[in-house]
Amino acid sequence: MIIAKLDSGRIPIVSAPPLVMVIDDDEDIRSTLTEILGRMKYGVACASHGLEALAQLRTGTRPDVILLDLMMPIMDGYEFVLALRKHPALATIPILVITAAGDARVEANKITAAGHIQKPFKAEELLSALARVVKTSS
Amino acid sequence: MALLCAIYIVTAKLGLQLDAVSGFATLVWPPTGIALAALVLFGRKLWPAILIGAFVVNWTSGAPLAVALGMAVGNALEAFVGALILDRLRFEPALGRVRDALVLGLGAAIASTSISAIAGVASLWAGGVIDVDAVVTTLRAWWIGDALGDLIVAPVLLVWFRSPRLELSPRRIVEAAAAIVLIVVTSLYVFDAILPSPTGPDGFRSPYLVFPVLMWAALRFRQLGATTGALIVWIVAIVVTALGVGPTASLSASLLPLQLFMAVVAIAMLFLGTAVSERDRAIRARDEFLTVASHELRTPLAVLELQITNLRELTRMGALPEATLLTKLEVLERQGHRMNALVGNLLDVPRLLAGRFALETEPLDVAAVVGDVAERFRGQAAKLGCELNIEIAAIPPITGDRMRIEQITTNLLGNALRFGPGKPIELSLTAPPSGLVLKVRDHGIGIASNDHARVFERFGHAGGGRRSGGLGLGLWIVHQIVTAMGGTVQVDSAPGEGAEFTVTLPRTSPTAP
Repeated sequence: MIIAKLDSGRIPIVSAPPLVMVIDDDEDIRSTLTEILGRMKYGVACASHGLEALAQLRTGTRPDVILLDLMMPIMDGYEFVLALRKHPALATIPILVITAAGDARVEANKITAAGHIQKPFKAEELLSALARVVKTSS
Repeated sequence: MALLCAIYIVTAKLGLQLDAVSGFATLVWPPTGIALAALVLFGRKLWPAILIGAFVVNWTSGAPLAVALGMAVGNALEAFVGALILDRLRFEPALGRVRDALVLGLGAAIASTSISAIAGVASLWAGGVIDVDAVVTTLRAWWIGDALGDLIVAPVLLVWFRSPRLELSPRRIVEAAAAIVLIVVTSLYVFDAILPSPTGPDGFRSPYLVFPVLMWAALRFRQLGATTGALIVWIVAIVVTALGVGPTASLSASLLPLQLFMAVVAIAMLFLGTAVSERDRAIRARDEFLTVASHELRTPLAVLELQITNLRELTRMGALPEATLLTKLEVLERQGHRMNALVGNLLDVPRLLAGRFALETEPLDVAAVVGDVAERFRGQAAKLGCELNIEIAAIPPITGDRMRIEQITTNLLGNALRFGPGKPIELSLTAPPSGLVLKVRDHGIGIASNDHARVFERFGHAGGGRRSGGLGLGLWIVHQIVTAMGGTVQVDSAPGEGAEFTVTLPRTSPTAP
């Protein structure tokens, strides 16, 4: 488990670093989150849309949590979740919705996500939400 | 086809039972509406079913062979031309817009029915079935009877086949049943079949009483309620007449006021239903826009917020070499530009809608202007895996609006990057004798041909804004600006084959739209 505390820049690692999959069509969001999460000792895998994420999951990538944007080209977050839930091995991966559209809570409920964060958000919010989800799922 | 023919014959025979003028023209002529709806919904190729059905009805009702044939040709032409007019005027069978009601009313109920009325009455007169004295009365009854078929029967069929299904909870079912009962009871009262009392000037009393209950049906059940409500009133009028009750017992005697009453009910409900539906559509479009606008405006803010936190942390850790800092500042700058473009597009909307934006023309090196914008996109294109190929011809200075030409180029390139990530994008600017031609081509998801016009509409995402993002304003703004400049913008695209947008501008732009 990771306890996120951004100010100290250090975190106590109890077990192997959890892997976070970031699915977002905005390249700047992906790269910035990769940097921030990497510094907090998370493993990070990125995909720019749902289809790309599914391809990675089919080749064996097993994230501990998925950070999912909802509005994306090619395959959006809603379609991705439908496809994901058809695979028993993948269906239980917790999803944390990160969306700039509408009401994140309402949208997260639609896909029964483990949590939600409304964009724009602070890094601290993301890290504490991630920590909660990882803790719950473990 | 056989089914349509059979339905046509049965409903026509029922109509002719009811006191037809000159034996063939009646208030009750549902086959016109059935024929029109069938040809609109299932294709104009079904016209032979109408021809055969009408011929059988008229021939077996006592018309001589040639007269029956003439009337049948008129009936088939009426349906065919009506469906053709609706198709040409981009009528939507779900009747979701006020213009659909207008097109149905003018194109089918008034225009196409005149064909059948004229052909039918001319056949009757030529065949010696009616005297010249009866021509006008028969023509009027025929025309209005057919028009009512198009105004009352066709909308119900079109809406029941094409309108989105309503959610029918037990409560809604009870409400629908109550509405039907109330419409029936009110209609019976209006047509004097219950609670007899002194009749009004038109032979039926307080006709306006049907409107509140019909409006209730329309407001609660949209076009389904509006069109079905009008049909129920019509059926009650027919049944009351068939049973010989009330002041309308002699249909042909009170034909005109009853026809006018039914026409008013049908038209009022048609327009109310479509107006309510249009309001629903506007609300959905607004909600969709707010969702998309929220997404588009918050996303760059999210990057700014995260990147600033990131910079602060790196600075605190003393891990921010100059190269890294510059990279991160580029991100901030890029997102700032993005926000600026979004806000600019949003602020342009009222100006463009009101026609209040003025072109500020000046001598312009258009090649340099377009080239600069394209070069600014190189970094973003590279990040998205798009190879940006720019071909700009040497073009002598023109008179044009620098900012607007930049905006056109920016919106077209932004659109290409959004819909064609990971694939090449080509931009070319040439100057044939006809003017300036700017082409932007992507190799992305493409646009279906029936969406080509829609992409230039306000908030007109081809595939739905929720998926693609974008405010749905970029191409609309391009269209508005290009039109104001006296030019044109076109799209050539097919699904899966990318899209090519071609802007053609005169070398000298008008100074104002």
